[in-house]
Amino acid sequence: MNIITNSALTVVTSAVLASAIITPAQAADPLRVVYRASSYVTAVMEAAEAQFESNHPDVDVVLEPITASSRDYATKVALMNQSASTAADIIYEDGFSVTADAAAGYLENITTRVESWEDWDKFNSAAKQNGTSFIDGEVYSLPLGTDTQGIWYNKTVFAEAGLPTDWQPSTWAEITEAAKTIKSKLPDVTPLNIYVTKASGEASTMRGLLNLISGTPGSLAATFMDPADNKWVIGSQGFRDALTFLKEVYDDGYLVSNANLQDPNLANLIAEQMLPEGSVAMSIDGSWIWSRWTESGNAPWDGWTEEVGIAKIPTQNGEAPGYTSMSGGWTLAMSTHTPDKDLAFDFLTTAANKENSLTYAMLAGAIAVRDDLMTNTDYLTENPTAEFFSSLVQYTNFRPALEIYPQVSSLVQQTMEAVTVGGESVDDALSRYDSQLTRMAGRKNVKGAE
Amino acid sequence: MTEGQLPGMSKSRARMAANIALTLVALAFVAPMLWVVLAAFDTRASLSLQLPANWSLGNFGAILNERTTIRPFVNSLLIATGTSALVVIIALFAGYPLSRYKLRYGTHYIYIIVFASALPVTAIMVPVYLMFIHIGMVDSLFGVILFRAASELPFAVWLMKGFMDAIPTDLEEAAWVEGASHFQSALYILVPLLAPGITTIFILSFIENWGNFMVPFMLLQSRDLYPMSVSLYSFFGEYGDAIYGQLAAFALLYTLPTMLVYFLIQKPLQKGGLRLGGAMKA
Amino acid sequence: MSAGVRGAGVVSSRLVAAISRVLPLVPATLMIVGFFLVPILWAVYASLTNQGLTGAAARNPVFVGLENYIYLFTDSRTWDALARTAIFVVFSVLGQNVIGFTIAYARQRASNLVQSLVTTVMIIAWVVPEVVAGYLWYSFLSAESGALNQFFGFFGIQRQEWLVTDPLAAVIIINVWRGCAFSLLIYGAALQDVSAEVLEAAEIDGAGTFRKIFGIILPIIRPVILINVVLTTLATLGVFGLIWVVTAGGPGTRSETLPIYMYTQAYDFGLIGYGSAIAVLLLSLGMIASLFYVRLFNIGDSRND
Repeated sequence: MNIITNSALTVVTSAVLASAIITPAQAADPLRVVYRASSYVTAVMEAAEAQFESNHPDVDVVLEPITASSRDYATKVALMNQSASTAADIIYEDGFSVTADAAAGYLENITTRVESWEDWDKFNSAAKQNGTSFIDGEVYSLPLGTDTQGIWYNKTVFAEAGLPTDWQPSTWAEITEAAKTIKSKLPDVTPLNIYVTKASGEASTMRGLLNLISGTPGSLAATFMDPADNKWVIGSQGFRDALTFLKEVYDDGYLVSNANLQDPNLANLIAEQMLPEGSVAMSIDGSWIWSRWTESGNAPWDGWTEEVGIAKIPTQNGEAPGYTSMSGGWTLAMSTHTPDKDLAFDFLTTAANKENSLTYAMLAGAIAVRDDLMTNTDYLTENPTAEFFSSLVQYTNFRPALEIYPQVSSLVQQTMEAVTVGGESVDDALSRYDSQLTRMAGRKNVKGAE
Repeated sequence: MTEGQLPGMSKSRARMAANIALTLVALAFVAPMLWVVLAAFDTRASLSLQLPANWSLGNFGAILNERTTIRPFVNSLLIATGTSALVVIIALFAGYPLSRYKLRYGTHYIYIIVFASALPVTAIMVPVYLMFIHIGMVDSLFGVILFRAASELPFAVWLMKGFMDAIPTDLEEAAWVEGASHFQSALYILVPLLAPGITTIFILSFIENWGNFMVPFMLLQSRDLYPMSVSLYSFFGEYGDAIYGQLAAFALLYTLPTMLVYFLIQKPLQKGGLRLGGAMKA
Repeated sequence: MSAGVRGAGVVSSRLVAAISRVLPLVPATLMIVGFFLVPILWAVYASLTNQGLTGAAARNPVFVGLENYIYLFTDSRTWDALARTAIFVVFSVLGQNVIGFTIAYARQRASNLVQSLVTTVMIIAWVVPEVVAGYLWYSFLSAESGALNQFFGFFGIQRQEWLVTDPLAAVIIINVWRGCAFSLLIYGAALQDVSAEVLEAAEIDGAGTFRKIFGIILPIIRPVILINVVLTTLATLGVFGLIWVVTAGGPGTRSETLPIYMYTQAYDFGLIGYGSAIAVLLLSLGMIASLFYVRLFNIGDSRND
């Protein structure tokens, strides 16, 4: 009995160990492309698939859309990347994970390849950063589009509430004031949408918090991460003020219901339903949401160009330069495990060619990253917001592309949720944020605010 | 105290009280389920509990397609029946020597089994995932079945031993005298007598596996392999608020098989309750 | 020489017999060792490294000794999660056992119709898959419009968002709702084994319901109670899907139990090493409960002998 148990243990253990060492070889044939399911990414990928397959009739492209919240998508892809047998060849990747996934060895370094690609010069240099590792400065991913942020508002609702329809706040307090006016004049309307929960994932971190703290004195360097020494900042006044602001607008009942806040689908709900119908008056949101209202969008809205206003996000008390924004964007990378690198890179350049980049920019509402599109008349007439949002580039900030950014982002979401829906005090939530951040980053990579 | 003196009257009054109290309890248990039944037949359902303005099968029509419902249903069926069958067979083999022989380390073995049956499977999902990658069983229904079976197995072996202990060995001994092997006597005499026990184990395992979410959620990647539990979760995550009616219809379809299984066996369970083999009767 | 050969033959045939007796145990043993023991050992090992889901720590995890455990036990979040787990387990187990027993007892007095009504309803609650149960309760408790608020609103009670005002209580209630049937079935069987004569004798002596339950029935079914309490404790300790679907541990961390904490750290934060340390903590709690269980089982076993 003992003998059997022991030898069974040996057999199983050695089987596990052996297969751990001899990793099964990747089947050479199909090229697997994994992306987060949505109509516009699917459209681009299907177009790329068709073009690619006509150039490579012997290669079968398999599209693997993953239906998941942005948070679950990142987890699923990281799990797939654990081994050659499960990793996809081509990965649709949010720019903020590029550094981490490059450091993990999941993404192939494509620097020399892009340098010899004739189109690479046409990509604007800010967008290139989005696919570049912060650690070694090498390129790991092709940018597909970028964005900036603003405050979208429904002019009809603003007019009914007696607010100006060319509204432009110059401080946070003016946002709150407008919300207060709407709340008192139109009690059925939710004045303001800001993403503040884990359910909204990265949107909460970037659109909710970073859009605020980047507008406090010293911007992100003094409140979040200091690029001068790559240290994360704890205990800053700006961070505290932003959380306090969020807690106040929540407690005053200016945000959407808790059920909506906890809904991972909130971003779509806002863009496709609540903002158009005027049940939400304003939303701090990405430059892309207009794409839902075009004829081919999910929620066509004829008069949107007349009925929607966009304001720049003000700094806390109107500090110079007066406004702020955040930029990110999705990219396309290839796995280190992909057997035929030339083939995989060929797919990348097909997906990011001028034609497909245009499709992506139009359908996803992204700000084009290729200069040859910024002069494209189709694009500029189709997207009347392009000029406004491109003008925000002068104020914009990028997320610190440090390796642990994705983890810090999760922590930020939890902290925001705690002070709003969770009803916790700013002090308690901040002290947990500080201690958890210290553990994640390590003591030597954290510093107190100056 | 008066109860003892006036047994007749207090009995009927006690029965009345029990009837009323238990009916209220039943209502309380049923209340959370009402929404799903009403919403499933209401194409304009919201989170509120309301009678459908127009009763309609529209929600079912909308989800009854291969991708949304039928394939996940088949996957759930494969996982639940495959796991339960595997569990019953392996537990039958393992239960036999534990029940019928005096093994030197038999008691220790039982202890380890009992011990293992009590560990929270949740805690080992991370290493299990990484191990499955190495043995190439991530994203495979067979992998899910194997792991689900392994996690049900300790409890099943223990139950099975209890059920076997409760069956006297006389008949088998008579068969041995006639020259039957242990295998023959087990197959032709013991297994038929064990039928109620086997059914209990199969059904407990089926219900558990039909409903399990975490293991397929973590071990499967392709949407084509999702069982109904994972499908329901991502379905809701994807569409959110918009289509509660379809969500409810899906949930209802998903719940029906376990109810069916339950109604097949309700008589013995309601009458006798759950005796977990000899083991439970200390 | 021939004696030696014969001796060897006897030994080997004994060995063959011994092996053939334990052979049927091999598949079960292999599966339990392969899918339990190996992962547990791996979790212990990983908890001593900084293994990550992404970043450099994914490619080259470094041995960090007890660092994860030091963080774990000095972080108030762990203690909060532990406290919540304790509350979740204690109240779930208490609720399931008390309600399960009470109904099993009261059921004996009720009419046949009511008996099968209450049993059926409770068993349906039990067999409803956990994700469905999560959504049922999510809608039942949900904000303005949920059925519970409609019901309370009817009586003029203030509407509230149950999943926000007390998310932990909400998941406990849901877990009790689901788990009662198991205890009902166990106690139903146990009560049938309490002899009617003993109870009648007590009634003639003038014992009321209270004394019958506490003086006679509970002492008789004590072993069943103990085992059921341990079984429900262990089942409750690992609950993940239900909480994940209903609250995902939130709002903030207000319904974060150990399994949720582990999942968040390992997958959301990508800290596999740290998440494994939480897994080891969870396993240790399970082992402590298991030891109780084994000892109880031991008592039962020796009595049977």
